[in-house]
Amino acid sequence: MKARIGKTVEEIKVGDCAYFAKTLSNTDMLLFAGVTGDVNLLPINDEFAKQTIFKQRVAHGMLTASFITNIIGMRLPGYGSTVKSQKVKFTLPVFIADTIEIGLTITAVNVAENTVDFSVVATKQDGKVVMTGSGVATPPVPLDDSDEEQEG
Amino acid sequence: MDYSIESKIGRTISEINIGDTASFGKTFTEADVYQFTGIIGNFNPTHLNKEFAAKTPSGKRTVPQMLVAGLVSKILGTEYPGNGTVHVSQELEFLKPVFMGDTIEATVEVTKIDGKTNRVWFDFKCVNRDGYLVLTGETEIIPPFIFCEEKS
Amino acid sequence: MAFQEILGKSIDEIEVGDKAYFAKTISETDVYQFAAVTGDFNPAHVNEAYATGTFFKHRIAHGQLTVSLISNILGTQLPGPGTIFVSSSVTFMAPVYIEDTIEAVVEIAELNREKNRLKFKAWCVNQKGVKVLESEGMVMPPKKR
Repeated sequence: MKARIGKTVEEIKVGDCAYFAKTLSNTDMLLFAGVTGDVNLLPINDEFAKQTIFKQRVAHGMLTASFITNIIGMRLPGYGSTVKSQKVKFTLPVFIADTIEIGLTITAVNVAENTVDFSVVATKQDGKVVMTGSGVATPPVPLDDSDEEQEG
Repeated sequence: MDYSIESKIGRTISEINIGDTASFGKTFTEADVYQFTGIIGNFNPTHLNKEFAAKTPSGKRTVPQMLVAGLVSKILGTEYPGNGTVHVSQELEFLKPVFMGDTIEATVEVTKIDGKTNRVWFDFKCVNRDGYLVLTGETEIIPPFIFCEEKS
Repeated sequence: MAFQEILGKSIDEIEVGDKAYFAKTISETDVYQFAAVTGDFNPAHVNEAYATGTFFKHRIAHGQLTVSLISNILGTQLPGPGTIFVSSSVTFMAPVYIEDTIEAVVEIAELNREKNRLKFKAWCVNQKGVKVLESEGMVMPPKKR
């Protein structure tokens, strides 16, 4: 089976962008709490959340931040990428049933180091910015497929 | 039901001290990886494709970096400060890959407190069983507080 | 948010012969979650003691789980987000076991630009190169403004 990779550093240009959008479900939040162990009551308990300044459950910040890796791993650069470092700032709370759209833009390409710099902005359905950030990712390098038969 | 969050919230800012630490360790399983990538929609073959991973330098499927970072979220949201904590910003640097079956210990330490704006800063690190740092970073949070509604 | 930027390829951006791929190692978690979501607790999928006595010798993945890898490609790559599934037929040719790595391939077979419909061929192979299923069907690619 051929190891299909995303874009290599040579195939990426400054200004390239990619997007991902999802409506946050209760299931996302509960599964995220379960798999990370972050059972902070603010995202998962209605009665607790009602008595906070937010009045309702707030999604884990790290859930929103994790959607960045969806774009890095799936689209830009894509399959085989890893993140070297990442910085995010949460500017507004995200609630259940909010639709989050994340846009990622390439801000620098460093061919010698095989890295790309990116910036991200996440907005919700009313257009308000909920998260901004930046980071450095390592695009995939071609993998040895010499054991493979020619596709035909 | 008479539900009050007062007995349930984590440490408020007056109960937090510079230099305080908290830790949590966990073994990452295949189930963790498959659930997490399912929530985020990140089907990067580095996490989910054995044949692909065998051709990469690490040779094995890796645990998503943001899932490892979730250990920090878990400590802050459930242990220190605990329930009601809200993330404001986070910086992550990924140093080594983590594989299924690896046990990772995360530790957070309070580095700065701002009583005026009710913000607390932590440094954190995640270490594998061989003692190697796999992830370091810092994070800014709003610790839990009792929200008193103004009567109108 | 108009979501125009997340939409996949419109029919004018697709040619006959275009291909897209998706590969994944099928884990026990995948099979158990699929069983949980659909309620298909056929012992062939969730009972190893039963499965050892069957022709297949081990638990096998649900056929529709493997078929769904094709749906993944249609919905996320070719044509991509916004695609509407119209019809498909599938032939299962070999079992898929837990821990098999399966690659799905979709190839565009026919385009009807007037009706905004296309026919695709698809197949899945395992890590040994054995074809485990073949499929063909029709979808409507997303329309862009």
